[in-house]
Amino acid sequence: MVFLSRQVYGRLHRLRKMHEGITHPDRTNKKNFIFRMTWHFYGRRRNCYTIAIRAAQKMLQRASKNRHQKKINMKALWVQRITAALQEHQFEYTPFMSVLSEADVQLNRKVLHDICIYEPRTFQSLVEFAKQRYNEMGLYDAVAPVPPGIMTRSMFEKGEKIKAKREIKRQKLGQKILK
Amino acid sequence: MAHNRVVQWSTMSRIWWLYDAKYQCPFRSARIIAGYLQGQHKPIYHALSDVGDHVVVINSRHIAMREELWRTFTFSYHTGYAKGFSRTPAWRLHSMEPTMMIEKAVYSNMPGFLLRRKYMRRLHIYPDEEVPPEIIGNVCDQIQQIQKVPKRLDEYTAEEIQAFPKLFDWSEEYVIENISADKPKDTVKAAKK
Repeated sequence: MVFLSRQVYGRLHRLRKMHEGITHPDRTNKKNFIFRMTWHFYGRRRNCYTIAIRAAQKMLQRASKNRHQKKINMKALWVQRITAALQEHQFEYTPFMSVLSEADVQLNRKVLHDICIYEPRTFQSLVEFAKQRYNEMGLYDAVAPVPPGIMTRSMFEKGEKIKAKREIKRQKLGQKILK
Repeated sequence: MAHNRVVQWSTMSRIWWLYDAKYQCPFRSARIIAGYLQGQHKPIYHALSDVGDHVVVINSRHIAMREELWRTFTFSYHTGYAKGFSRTPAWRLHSMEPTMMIEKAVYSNMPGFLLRRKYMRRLHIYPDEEVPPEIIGNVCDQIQQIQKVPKRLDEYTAEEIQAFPKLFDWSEEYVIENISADKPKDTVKAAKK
């Protein structure tokens, strides 16, 4: 009898053994199911079943966690790139997005990120629109810097608060040194 | 779709930026310089793709720090051997090596992976305004300073001081403390004589 593969021979051997009285079934398929996932691992994590199954389970846990994490990472990258593109036009991310959503411009971060790389002129026109609309809405007045040469009571109060905080810090440091 | 729809060769080129550190906070300006070195100001930025620019920092000798930080801020170092710890105040380090403060601040503001050394090689710091021509020749743009350079009182001309608007005159009865402090001494001396 000629066997073309070792596996087939092994299985038939197993069946013969079961005739002789071994009760538990063949686990080859179950093991192969795991080994098919661990073929690219390093060392004994790849070929020894008891170690490989633990590695495979951990791998699957990480895979399902990172399926969610990937979306978060991509979003962060898009935001960073859009911010960089806006920096060229002296504008910021938060007002830009708020104006676009207010004007019902239905472009998400992914599309805006593609536009800012591959179609800079389109992006520039979007920014110009956002800038103008932002001023029209009057949101800029709330955060605009105070013109030079003007002092208000609130500015003094703010400075006093910062000074008081520093003083408290300094005192704490001094007490630490004394101890 | 033709692939030459958007040809932007200069997107991938490295730009040389100039940063004037005169009267600037080294820590806050380091955060900005580190961003430019990593290429965070470009829409094609990615942490693993090396798209950063060159930055030339001039006037690093004339950086400014608030309050008493020159005295209180310290740089610490350990050689790894016993008794190898040393601590140097900022003023001392700055007097020894006027480019060191900016370099250390930028280095600590970048993420610690292998590209960091590569980025630091693109940072050129000069203590004064004298920059070699092969470096300054590459510069094509300037990074905006983080704070306004203040003008000292002695830098104003007499005309500007004269032209400064005067809201009111002191009355003759008003006594200014510093001036009045000299007068009684003279009177006392005169009385003794």
